[in-house]
Amino acid sequence: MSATTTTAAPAFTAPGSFGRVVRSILKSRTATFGFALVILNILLALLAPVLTSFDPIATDAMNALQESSGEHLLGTDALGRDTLTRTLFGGQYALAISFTATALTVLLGSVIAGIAAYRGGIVDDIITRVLDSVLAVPAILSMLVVVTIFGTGPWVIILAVMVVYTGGVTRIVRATVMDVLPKDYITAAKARGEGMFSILAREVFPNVLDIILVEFAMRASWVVLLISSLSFLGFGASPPTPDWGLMVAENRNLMSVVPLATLSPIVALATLIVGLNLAADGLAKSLGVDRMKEVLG
Amino acid sequence: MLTFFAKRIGWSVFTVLLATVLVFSAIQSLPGDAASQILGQNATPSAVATMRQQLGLDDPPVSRFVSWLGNALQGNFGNSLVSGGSVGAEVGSALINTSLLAGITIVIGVLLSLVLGLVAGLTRDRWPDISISTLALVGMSVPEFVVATVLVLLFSIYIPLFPAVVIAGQNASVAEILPSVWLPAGALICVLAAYIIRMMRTSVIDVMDSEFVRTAILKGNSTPRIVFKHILPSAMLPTLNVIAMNVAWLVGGVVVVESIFNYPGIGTLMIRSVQTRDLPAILLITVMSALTYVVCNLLADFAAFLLNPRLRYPRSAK
Amino acid sequence: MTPETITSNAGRRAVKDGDVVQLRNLGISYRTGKREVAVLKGITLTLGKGRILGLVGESGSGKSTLATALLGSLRTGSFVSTGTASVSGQDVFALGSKELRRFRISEVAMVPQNAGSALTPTMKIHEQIAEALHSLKGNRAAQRSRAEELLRLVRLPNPAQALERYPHQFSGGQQQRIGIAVALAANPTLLVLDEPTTGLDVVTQAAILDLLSELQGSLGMSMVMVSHDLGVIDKMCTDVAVLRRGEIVEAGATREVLANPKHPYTRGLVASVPRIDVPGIPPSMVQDAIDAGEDWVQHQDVYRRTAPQGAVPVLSVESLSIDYRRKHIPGTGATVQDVSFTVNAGEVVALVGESGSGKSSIANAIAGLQKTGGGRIALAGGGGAGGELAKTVSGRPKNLRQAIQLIFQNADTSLNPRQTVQTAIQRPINLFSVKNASVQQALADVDLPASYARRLPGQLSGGQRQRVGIARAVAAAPSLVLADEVVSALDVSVQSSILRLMDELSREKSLGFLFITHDLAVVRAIADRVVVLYLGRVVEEGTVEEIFASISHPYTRLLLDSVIELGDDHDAKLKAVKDEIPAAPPELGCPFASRCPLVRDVCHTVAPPTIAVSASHNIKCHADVAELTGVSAEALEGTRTC
Repeated sequence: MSATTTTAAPAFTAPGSFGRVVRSILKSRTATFGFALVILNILLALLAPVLTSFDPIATDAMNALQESSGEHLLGTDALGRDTLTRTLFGGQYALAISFTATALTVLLGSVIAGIAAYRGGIVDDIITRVLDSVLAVPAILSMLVVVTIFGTGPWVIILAVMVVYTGGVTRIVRATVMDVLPKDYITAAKARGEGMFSILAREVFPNVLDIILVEFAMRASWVVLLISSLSFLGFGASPPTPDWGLMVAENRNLMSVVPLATLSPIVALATLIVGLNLAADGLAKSLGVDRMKEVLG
Repeated sequence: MLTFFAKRIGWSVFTVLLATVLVFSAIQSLPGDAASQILGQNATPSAVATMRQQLGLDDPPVSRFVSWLGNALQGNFGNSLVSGGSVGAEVGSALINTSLLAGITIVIGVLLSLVLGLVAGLTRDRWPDISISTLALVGMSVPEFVVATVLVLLFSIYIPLFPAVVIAGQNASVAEILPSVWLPAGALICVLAAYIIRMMRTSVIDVMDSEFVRTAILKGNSTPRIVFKHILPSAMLPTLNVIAMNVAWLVGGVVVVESIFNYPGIGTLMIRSVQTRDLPAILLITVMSALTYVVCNLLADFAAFLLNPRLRYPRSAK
Repeated sequence: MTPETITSNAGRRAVKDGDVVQLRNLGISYRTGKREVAVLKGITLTLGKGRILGLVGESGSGKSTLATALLGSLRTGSFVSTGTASVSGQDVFALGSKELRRFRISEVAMVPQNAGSALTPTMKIHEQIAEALHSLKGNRAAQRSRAEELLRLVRLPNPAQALERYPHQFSGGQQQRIGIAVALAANPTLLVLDEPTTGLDVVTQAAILDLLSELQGSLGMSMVMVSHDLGVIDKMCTDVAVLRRGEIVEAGATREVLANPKHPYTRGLVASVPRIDVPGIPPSMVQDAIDAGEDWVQHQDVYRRTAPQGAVPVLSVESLSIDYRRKHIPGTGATVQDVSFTVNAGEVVALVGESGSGKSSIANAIAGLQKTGGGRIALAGGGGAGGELAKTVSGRPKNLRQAIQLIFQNADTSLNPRQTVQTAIQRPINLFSVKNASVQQALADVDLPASYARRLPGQLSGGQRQRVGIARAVAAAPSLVLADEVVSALDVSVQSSILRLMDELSREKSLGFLFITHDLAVVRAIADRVVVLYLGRVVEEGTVEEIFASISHPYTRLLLDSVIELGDDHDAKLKAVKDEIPAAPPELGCPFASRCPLVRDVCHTVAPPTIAVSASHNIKCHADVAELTGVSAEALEGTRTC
């Protein structure tokens, strides 16, 4: 009857969400580089036991405060522990805790955001206000309080991160969900009589996934920052755990003697965070709108 | 307009109150209380009990909160469980020191980052933008303690310009502290500026893509006029909230930086109070931080109100 | 259409001395990644002084790019690949930045598509006009009085007060007038207008176009006007250039080109425009045939739909009212009040009104997305399919939710961009356990190949997306479809095919369609019966022939007269009718009283009685039938704006 029927349909296949995300990462040089940095960090942390023969915890007073040498590539600290080993193992701690914490935070925040935005009215008001009050307490104070109450296990840190960042995630995701809700396909689903969770899961979340991913990458960088700050202040990982923040705290007074002991964890930390930030930037850019449409027309 | 601000101020009070309640109830569940903390591990149970009674720790939490609130509204925030002195005075003097640090940071940091963000946005994808954006990325990616450590290394050890730590005590005068403000302020500015620069850059780019800026260009306006009359007011609007957020977050950054430089401010006090479970001090610090947060947001709202005619003249007034 | 019908352009000034615009083989491309995409190819045209050029084309034809190129402006990433563009004797792309500024100040100005977003939101109107008054630089008093004069020129009410206001304090039509005033401030040789009336209501559009004609007549500048609307081009322009995929396929004097189109594409465009004076659905354009150089128009005729035989009601709405007001505001009435109508099986009923007429609120109430204030909505139907629709969706039983399906205006937002066509259509089938239904069948119903099931909305054209939207609705096996402005966002070449599809579905599946629209030409093409709404009240109701016949409600008459059609005698039409719809309906009397040419005292206090012109044709008005017969232009003349 019209052009649509006369044109032979070329073989289109719809890419899945995963394929789409991978493709957009590869499309952006920034994102590729960022993810490469993050993956490098993960690999180094996972392979730490293979890459080094030293024990990250055992002290060795004979070899304390050594400079870079063939045996200790990055030297040793005041207790004679190999800096390279501790830096590599420190990645395990930083990555495992931050990624778990971020994932849970983003998940919880997104669910709350979806419900708040969809329900609207008083439910939305209450959720927004309560989370705003949590945001009003400085992150570090909230974390200190949580850590003081529950002690310093990894799960406590994860809980503390969730307390601190759920509000922020909810804010961002809620705003995006609000943009999606007035769309006609949501109206169509509502008119069919679909329930809230069905609409959120089928229609809303696939469309805010991009923002959630970017949010994840960005939050992860903040979480790494916050957790290391906490350790640095002496409230996070407790000695002798190989943790980057802790390492800086332990060694910074010896900076004129063994600078590498301080600089190694700093460089490791910075690479990871720069990687996460670049990944977030690149993702945001390449998942964004197609600028071609603006030109034609 | 009045209802606009009345509503916001109402919510702000509610936010501060709720934040205080949250921290109060969290502290309530702390294992071990201030009484045993003060008396140490060797205290007899009866001594602890007497202490508890003296401190009013035996009353139910709700009544303790209400009585605390009643006193607080009269300006009496109680005495420190540790030093016994007035919490108000203790927090007050720490707050003055922190205000000095924060004031310098905010004035320099905000102005600097607005200018840099504007320049980056206007020169999108050209070298000034690329260098500014890279700098902002680095600022975002490095924790305060790292910046502080590096600054100490550079300007205190290699080039001894500033003191590495503050030797003056809690009650030092402004003149005594001033020389040691610059390094911590520098560390805080780096962290504060990064997000404001990025937000400003993004919103300048958004506004430059808008139809009205295109129209202003096609009208043959001069570049300064386009930038300052057409772009800047609209680009500032979304940036305001980010500035408010970051200024409020400064309280968090202050904790780390102050502890590194041993700066006698609210951050140092916060860590000490949490370590000693000094509830009155923690509560007052919470109130002050929450106040900072809501005041920053209110100021942002007010600035938005001045910049945005849509808020000043709602559509109905036709 | 015959050449005789287009005579209006003869009277327009067309001074010939020197060409204002001269484009030679102009090509503009866009760079994306490593690819270069040509947006404009080999554009050559000239425009004489005092003449008006219309640029016609569908979305993606490059007409807006061409228009802005005349101001020496390109989008980021675009560049001139070939040729030159000279305006007022200056090669615009060879000018340095200083010269370009001077050129924009003195020679050319632009009225953008949407003045609402083209005026700087943070600046007062007088500042925005003043900065274009370069010759009066520094003299504030003179700038002010000139600005006020300009606002008076574009007939903005209360110009002195308007100077102190911000853009958002004006309605869309008023913003467009301000946009024109700003453009005129510099007294340009050439005025470029990019879709200056798209998005405005028909009545407002007519008023703005009249204003532009008048200003051009008195100021004598040349104009270039971009539009997708052939009626507008025909009314306004002395010359026309038809663009398709970045190339000019035909150009010449408007009268000749539109009366005797030579190129198959132009013929197609002209033939596929629905008209209020020709009942039926125009033929749809076959782009492939045009590519092959075939003249397809000869093979297709206007298709006339026949109304279904026998009235089997599907939907009945009785005395419906909807009120958004939290509390009573004196002098205003409910948004929707006392609306009654029915839709029969297999029938297409058009709900017509401008923005603010409450037509979408009514549709939402029927769909259960909006609470009603009073009245009754009922779905009739055999086999237990019927029932009351008093409750919103969450309270309705499954069979009622299934029986009513929606299709939407904007094909871009009607489909979830992350769901394949398969998933989208499968969902209602599963949800309602529809028997004998499949995605393949639904796609076949809307003439799409089954292979399209694997695609995402982003891989479909606008028309195809609209078909998928229809397929999703039809797959639920409904008895009533609510279609909200379903063709108004589509290019004219696609419109007809969608209208034909709706016609087919209504007949083959005995579907009732409630077709919500502001476009009278589309109503004429597809509707069997029409309900005319004004400020949430029914003012007239009848069969499509009756509505378009001579006895009409004054509001319907105003709407009909405001439609600008290809081949009309534009000069003979009345001009500049009061174009602002009140913000809220009045509490008492007739809603149209404030704008009605036949208004009398009783209209402000007593609700109008129903005049039964025939068994099916009702008009609500205090006037008598004789007065409503072809309400004369002179009578409406009395309602001119200040």
